[in-house]
Amino acid sequence: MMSQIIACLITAMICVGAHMIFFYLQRRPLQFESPVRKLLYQGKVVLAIWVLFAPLVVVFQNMFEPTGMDRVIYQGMTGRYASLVFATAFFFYLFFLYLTAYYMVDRSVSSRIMIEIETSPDGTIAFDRLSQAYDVDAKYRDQLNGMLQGGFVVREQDTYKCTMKGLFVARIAYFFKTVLRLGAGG
Amino acid sequence: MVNAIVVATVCFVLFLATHIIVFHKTDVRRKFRTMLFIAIAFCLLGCGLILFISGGTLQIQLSNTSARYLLYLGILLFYFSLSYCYFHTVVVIDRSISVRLLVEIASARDKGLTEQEIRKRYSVRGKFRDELRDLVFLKRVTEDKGVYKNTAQGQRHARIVSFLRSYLNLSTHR
Repeated sequence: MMSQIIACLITAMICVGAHMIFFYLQRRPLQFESPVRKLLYQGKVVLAIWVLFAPLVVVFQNMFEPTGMDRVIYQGMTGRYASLVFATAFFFYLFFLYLTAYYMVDRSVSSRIMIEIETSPDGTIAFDRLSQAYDVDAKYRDQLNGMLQGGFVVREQDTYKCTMKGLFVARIAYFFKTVLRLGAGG
Repeated sequence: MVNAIVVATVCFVLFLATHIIVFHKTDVRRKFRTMLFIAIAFCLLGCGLILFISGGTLQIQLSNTSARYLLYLGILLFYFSLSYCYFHTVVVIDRSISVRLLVEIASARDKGLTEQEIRKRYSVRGKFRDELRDLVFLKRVTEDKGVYKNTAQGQRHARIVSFLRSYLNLSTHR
C-alpha cells in the first residue's frame, strides 16, 4: 500500500506544478463575468490535469513495487504506520469535505444574502436596502476581530499589522494569487 | 487499507456527532478552533484504534479479489481527494475576505493599515455585487430592474442555512 500512497503523492505534486505552469504561462489573465465562473474554470482545469496525469500513479507504483518497498514495510511495525498515515489522510479528507459545507453555513456571504431576501417583507430586495440590512460596518468589524482573535494581526493604536503567522499566510496567498492569476479576490 | 477506511469513517461520524452536540448545547466562542480540537481528538482516537486493530484480532479479512478491488478503489479515492484538498485551498485563498485583507495589510508601505485605509482598499459593497452576480449565474436569485428575488432553489438554500445556523448556535450576522 505504501508504494501506491507515495505514487499518489508524487503524481499529485506533479499535477500541482502542471496547474501552476498552465496559468502562469498564459499571456493575459483570463477575464470572467463573475468570481464563481473563474473558480468553476479553475476546478475544471484541476480535474482535467488530475485525470490526465492519473496513469502516472501506475507508472510510479510499478517503479516502486519491485524495490520491495511494500514487503519491507508490511514485515515490520511500519505496516501499522502505513495504515495510520492512510487513515489520518482519509479522516482529514472527510473533514475538508465537511469544512466546505460548514463554511457555506457559517461564513458564506451569498447564504446571508439569500436569507436577507427571504426574510424581507415582500421576498425581494434592492441593492441599497441589502447593504443597509447586511450592515457593512459590522462586516468589517467582524472580519478584523476574527483576524485579531486568530492571531493573524495585531492592533497598534489605530493600525492593524500582520503577525508572523499572518505574514506567512499572506505570502502563501500572494504566491498563489500571482502564479494562478486569480486577481485580488476576496 | 480496509481497516483504515472503516476506522477513519467511524471516527469522522463520531466527530460530526460530537461537534453538532457541542455547538447545539453550548455557546462556543472560538468556533473554528473548537471544531479543530474535536477533529484532532477523534483523529488521535482513530490512530489508537488502528494500532490496536493491526496488532490484535479485529483485522478485517477479505478475499484476494475483493482486497485487490478495494485497494484500487482506496488509491483512486486517495488520489482524487488530494485534488479536492488542493482545489479547496485555491478556493479559500481566492474567496476569503480575511486572506485578502491580510495580503492588503502585508503589502502596505508601512506594513500596517488603519480601518479607514482597509475600507478604501477593500469594498464590502463590491463583494455584495460580486456575490449577487454569482447567485444570478447559479440561478439561486433572479434580478429584475435592480431588485433581487430568491428562486425556489434559493429559498430552499436560505431556509436550510437559517435552520442550521440557529441549531448550531452560529452567528446570524455573518
